[in-house]
Amino acid sequence: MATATAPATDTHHDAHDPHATNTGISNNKLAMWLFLSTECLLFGALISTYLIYKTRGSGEVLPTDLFDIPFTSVSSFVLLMSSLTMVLALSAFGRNDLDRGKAWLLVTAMLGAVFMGGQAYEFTAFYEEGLGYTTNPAASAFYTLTGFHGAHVSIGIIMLMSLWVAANQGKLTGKNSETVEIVGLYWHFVDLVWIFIFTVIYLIPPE
Amino acid sequence: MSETTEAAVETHDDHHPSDWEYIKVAIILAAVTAAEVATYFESVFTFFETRWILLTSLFTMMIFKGWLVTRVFMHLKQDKPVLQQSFFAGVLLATAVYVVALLAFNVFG
Amino acid sequence: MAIIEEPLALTSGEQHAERPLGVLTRPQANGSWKDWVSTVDHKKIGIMYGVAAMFFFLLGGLEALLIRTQLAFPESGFLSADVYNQIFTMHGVTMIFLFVMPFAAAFANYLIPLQIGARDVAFPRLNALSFWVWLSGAIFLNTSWIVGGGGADCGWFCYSPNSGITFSPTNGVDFYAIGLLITGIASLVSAVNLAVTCLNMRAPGMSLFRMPVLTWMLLVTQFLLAFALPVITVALLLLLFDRQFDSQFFDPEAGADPLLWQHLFWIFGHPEVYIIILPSFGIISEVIPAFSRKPIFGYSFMVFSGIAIGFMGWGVWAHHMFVSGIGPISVFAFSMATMFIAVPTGVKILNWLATMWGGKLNFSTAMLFAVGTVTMFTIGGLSGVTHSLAPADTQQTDTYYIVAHFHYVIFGGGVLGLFAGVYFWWPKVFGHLLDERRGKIHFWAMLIGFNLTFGPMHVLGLQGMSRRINTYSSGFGFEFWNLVATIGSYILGASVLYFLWNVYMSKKDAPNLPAPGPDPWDARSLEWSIPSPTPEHNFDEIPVIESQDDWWFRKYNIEDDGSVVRISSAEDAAQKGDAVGVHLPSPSFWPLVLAIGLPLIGYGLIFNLWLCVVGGLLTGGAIYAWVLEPVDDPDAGAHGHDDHHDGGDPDGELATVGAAGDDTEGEG
Ligand code: HEM
Ligand SMILES: [Cu+2]
Repeated sequence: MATATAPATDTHHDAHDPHATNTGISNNKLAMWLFLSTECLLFGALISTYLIYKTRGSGEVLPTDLFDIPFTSVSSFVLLMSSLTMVLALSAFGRNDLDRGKAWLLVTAMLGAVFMGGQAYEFTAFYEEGLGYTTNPAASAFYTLTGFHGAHVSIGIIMLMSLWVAANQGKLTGKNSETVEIVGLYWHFVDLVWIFIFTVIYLIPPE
Repeated sequence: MSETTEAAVETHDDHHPSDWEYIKVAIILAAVTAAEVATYFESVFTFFETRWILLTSLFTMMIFKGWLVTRVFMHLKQDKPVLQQSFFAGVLLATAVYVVALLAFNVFG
Repeated sequence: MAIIEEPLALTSGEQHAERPLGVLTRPQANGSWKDWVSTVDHKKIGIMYGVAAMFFFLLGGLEALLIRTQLAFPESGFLSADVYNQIFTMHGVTMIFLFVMPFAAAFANYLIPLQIGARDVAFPRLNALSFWVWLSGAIFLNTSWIVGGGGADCGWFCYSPNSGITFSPTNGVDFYAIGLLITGIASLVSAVNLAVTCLNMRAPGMSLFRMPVLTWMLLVTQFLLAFALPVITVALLLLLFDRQFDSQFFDPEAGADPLLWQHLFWIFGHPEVYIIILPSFGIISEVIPAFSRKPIFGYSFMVFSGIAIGFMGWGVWAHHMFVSGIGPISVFAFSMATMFIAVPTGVKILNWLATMWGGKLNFSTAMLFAVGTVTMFTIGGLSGVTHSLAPADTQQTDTYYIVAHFHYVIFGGGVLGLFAGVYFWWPKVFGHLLDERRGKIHFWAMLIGFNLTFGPMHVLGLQGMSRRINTYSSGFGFEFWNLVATIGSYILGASVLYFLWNVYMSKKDAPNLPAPGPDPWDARSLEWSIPSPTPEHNFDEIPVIESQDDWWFRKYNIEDDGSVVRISSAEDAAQKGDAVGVHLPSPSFWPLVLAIGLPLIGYGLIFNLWLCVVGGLLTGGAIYAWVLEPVDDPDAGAHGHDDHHDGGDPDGELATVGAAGDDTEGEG
């Protein structure tokens, strides 16, 4: 452990303390948090772009004309609950309860997939109503923002499934539950972004 | 920030909430989401027709949800403060910068 | 990379690996070129950044000379308007993204671990990844000359709607967008990596406020990078989607607002100018104390003013848009903010002067460059303040006065400082000094050339000569100063070639000269406590830090009466660099493979989507191979992957490498 009192010759002490860093946080976890904080500026730019353009339709249909709040509420709810199952997976791995951990991972990935299905449905429905990607600035901004979020969810699903496979191969056990925690951080962050998008993009009605 | 260096010396508090606590939080989150969706039904809850009430309630609920997710699901409550600091540095910076940019575009009328 | 076979109980006590576990094995070092392409050593990576950046410096410099040749005389036909636009755009892009930033990254990579007493960065493989991805993006960007129908022609700021297909029908702008996206990924990964390194990997006793000022400035730079790059990423993606998929982000006819680009670009762009300048500030904050024989004056002011610059840099971006019609309230607010940002900058200048005040000054080449940096930057900062006043800027904007300003800050403040660092750390990196006599000629030639080139541009700008235009008419009084500027630029170019000559000759002469020893400048920070060149494993033992400038206090004592007494020679106090059996992270090829995939995706987006599939498979495959790749040590394999040991100690370091794979997975 890195303290000022460490004797000079013994750099090996406490090497088995998983938190032998200056901050007491593992490199991986700190890196993930830093990465997530930079993602705020990424999503912020996309959200701002949409807010600036949301009424710019040059006479064509706007995303706000097509929002189906009850439908989006359901898929938002699904994503929110996937955060619960994610944290339950972590908690199970923490107890070395591998079967439950694997099951919750799978459930989380499936809830994510349901959310993505919802997005696919929404995009198709909007497209059929005449809102293409190139229709107007509002449409481009809407699809880019939600598409980016969807891409993040998809990457999350891939990571969850990789964890699930690793757990089945016995490579992921209670001892390295921090990997689950780090993927979980990413997953919760993606949920967090959606909490924001749901309010700011969907629920606040046009004046 | 030298206290973070010292923090490594303290025994790490590995206490994570129990599953039941997570479920309780999820129920609260679900309830707040239900309340958020309720604002959509202005004809039932007529006071949401007043714009500032609507906006204040929506933003309050949104921030509350975000706060719960980061504190409990992402464990900021137990974890080292430096994580919270670096994350909220990003959140606050993004908010400040983009609100100013939106103001420059007169997005808020 | 030498994984030395004999285990040594002193440093880690672990047994060395016999056979790696798992499906994939990691390459072993054997002294061939493969060591370089598979290296994860922060020092080798730093050197590669430096060499590659130097190459792009020459390329960007060539472009600059073409510009100046065109402008030497009025109504010149040397370059057509079209070619001129491409050259000046690629000049700016190359100098900023392919020279100054990676050259600063060279210093950051090489020096951060040494200055904080670590054996490597937090994620050595990600570090290699950053370099290769940056290089692949840089090469990609420049292939537009060959396959893209020419370079981008929209200026480095690439304002819309000029950047749209209508006004820029070749693929140059696509290469610009994709190339900068790729280099952006590299810088983002590297920023997170180096920030974690500073926060987590410090030697025992190296608290944050004992870190050298250079490391501090680099840490602030990493945060600026981490927060600024996502913004340009979005801007570039929107531009790319407009051009490739017909989205409507910047098409005014469809109701879009071209100012959106300007806002996003400058929200990134102003922090970017501090990304350029802060590493140089850090470097001269090491050089000036060493050659003034005094500690840095006002350490905490230095650190806090750096942090303040980092924060305030986010609140001034619209000073680039005073004449774009953003409205009086915005103009007023941003004008005020811009004036205030000069304050922490001024604090720094005063502190450097105070460090030199009363010191025993030794004007070595490094010191000359450092003093040159301070003076030239002050001139550039002052012209900056003159255009923080919006009414004055209305006259100055889009004239050569602005070109003068930003070259005084970027070249005078940034590049001269980087050269100070080159002369200062050269012996540490290569084990021999750069010749001082030639170095001083290099300095004076560069300083004179620089001032002859950019000084006259103040005059030209105030006379009303527009920037970004390929020629000027005679009879406006522009002829004389343009000719002077062109002559200056040739002197500047010659000085750079003379520097390379110095590099070559110093290397040639080195065997006949005494070795510089661990600490040729009698300096203050940890990198001077180990042999030159730095041994593979950096430190025999991780030092335990007891104070700021710990290394200096191992050589000197301050007596009660305030007098300084030498207590040890540098040779005696320094580590010997002879430790064996130190665990080092093993090399890996996957960073390179992953990096090759990205430009393929880029070409695919422009030419044929099938190439995207190839690139995507390569990148995705490399990510999985990376994650599955074992660390070379059975012990660390078990612990690193399963236990997630991370730490600043040699044992934890290896474990970190194993864990790095999970992190990349995290980044998708
Ligand atoms: C004392 C602090 C500074 C102040 C007050 C300042 C102010 C300004 C202002 C107001 C402009 C816009 C002028 C215009 O386009 O009309 C500008 C342009 C510029 N500044 Fe500075 N600046 C400062 C320091 C720096 C530094 C440290 C750098 C880089 C290392 C820098 C790089 C640039 C660049 C590249 C441009 C022109 C960008 C372009 O239009 O292509 N400035 N500066
Ligand atoms: Cu600026």
